[in-house]
Amino acid sequence: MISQRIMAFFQGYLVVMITGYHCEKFISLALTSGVTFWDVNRKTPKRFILNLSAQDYPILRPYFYRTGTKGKILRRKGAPFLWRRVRAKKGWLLGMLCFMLTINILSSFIWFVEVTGVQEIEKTRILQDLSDLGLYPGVLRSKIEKKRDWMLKELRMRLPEAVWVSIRLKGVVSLVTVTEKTLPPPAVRNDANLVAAKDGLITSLLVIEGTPLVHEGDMVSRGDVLILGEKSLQHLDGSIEIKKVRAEGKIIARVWEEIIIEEPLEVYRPVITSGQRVVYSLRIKNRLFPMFSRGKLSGRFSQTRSGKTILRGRNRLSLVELIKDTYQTIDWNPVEISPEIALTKAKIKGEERMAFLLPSGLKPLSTKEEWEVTEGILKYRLVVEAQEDIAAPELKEEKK
Amino acid sequence: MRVGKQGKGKRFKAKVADFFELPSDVILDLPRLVLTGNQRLLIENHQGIIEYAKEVIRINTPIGELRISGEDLKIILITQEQVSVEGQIDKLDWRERGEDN
Repeated sequence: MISQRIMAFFQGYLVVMITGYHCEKFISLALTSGVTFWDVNRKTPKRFILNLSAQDYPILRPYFYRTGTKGKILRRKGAPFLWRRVRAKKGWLLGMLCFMLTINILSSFIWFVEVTGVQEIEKTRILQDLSDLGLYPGVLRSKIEKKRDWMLKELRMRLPEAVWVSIRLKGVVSLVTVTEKTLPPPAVRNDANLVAAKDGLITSLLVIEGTPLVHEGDMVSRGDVLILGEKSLQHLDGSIEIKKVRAEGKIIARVWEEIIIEEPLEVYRPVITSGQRVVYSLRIKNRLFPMFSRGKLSGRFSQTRSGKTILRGRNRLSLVELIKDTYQTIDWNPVEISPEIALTKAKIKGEERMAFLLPSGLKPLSTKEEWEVTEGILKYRLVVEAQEDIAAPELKEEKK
Repeated sequence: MRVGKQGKGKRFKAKVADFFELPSDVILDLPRLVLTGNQRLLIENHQGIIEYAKEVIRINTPIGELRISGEDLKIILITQEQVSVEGQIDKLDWRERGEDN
């Protein structure tokens, strides 16, 4: 049906009005000659309006005569008639051609460049890059189509933050889609120096990687570079290449640790006196309601609390508890400590601190201790000499 | 009334067509009707139209007259081989040629 209509349009067709008493007979007779009719409408009992191919109309003349009907062409439709009309209006045709030509020319240019998908990268930067590569409003579409692959490669190189870039041409719009990378955290630098973790006198050194800057017998301070994270390589042509490496090695040094502990020979200890105040409170959920109290307090006091659960509840929030707070007055009385006891205490503290300072399992080479009593305070001094590895990796601040 | 009363020759042809599984509409020169719901009717192998109105269309066929009744009936295409009718088709019935409406 559609193909028949399309064919009729290109061949040209007529809308014809048939008038007479025997229109049906006319159609039947015309059919025998191979004429095709479509959209047959009966407007009145004596009048039919139908469509037929323009080239079939002359065939119908004898049938008009034989059936006593009359035919009248109402409209001429289809491509041939349309072309005839258009040809007659040359100005209109010229205007249409100009319009089509203008539309065609204008649509062959890119008028808008849109960048989508960027969050971190600035759009102006991408637009500038695109402009440098030749994609800007007013450029010919054909130019872009030819060098699109090259443009994508260049743009990817210029945007290392982008993982994917695409350029699509939709009419006069160039749609540039950029997908940004999720950059990994900055890589840890492989090159690092070894520095002294403590002050000490170097007794031996073992360098595995890097360039040593100290020798046996050198006295170093905390933070001094011991092994430099660089290595020089000599090529066959005599040139020397400096290569960054991660310094490795052991720097054994004699180190001295000094600890000073002060112990008082008189201390104050609390003594509970007769004054007392007891306060009873009720705790419901997380709120405390004071109920009653007895006794009075004056001066310094200490507090103790005890509770009795009345209703445990399903959870902590539904707890009901009776709280008893006991406040007791106290006096601070001086107590004398003998120098021997104070010294013992100081020695215990000194050993604890020394264990913290020295690496575990390290035996000190020598220990020196001395003490003196001045103004009611015992001053205890402990000096320990040990041999240990003082090399530690240098901590570098991250550069943003 | 019996439409398309068959003689001995036609009965034989019908049996042959049935036996050899041949299309009987071709062998017996019968019209072929394709009805799509109650909206469209395609009639192949017709012999012209007898009457055309919005409520009724009468079409001549080799086995008699086909009367199509309905509302807003319209012939959308008519050629030597086929007629296509659109509209609300309510009733189809066959009549002998020359029988009164």
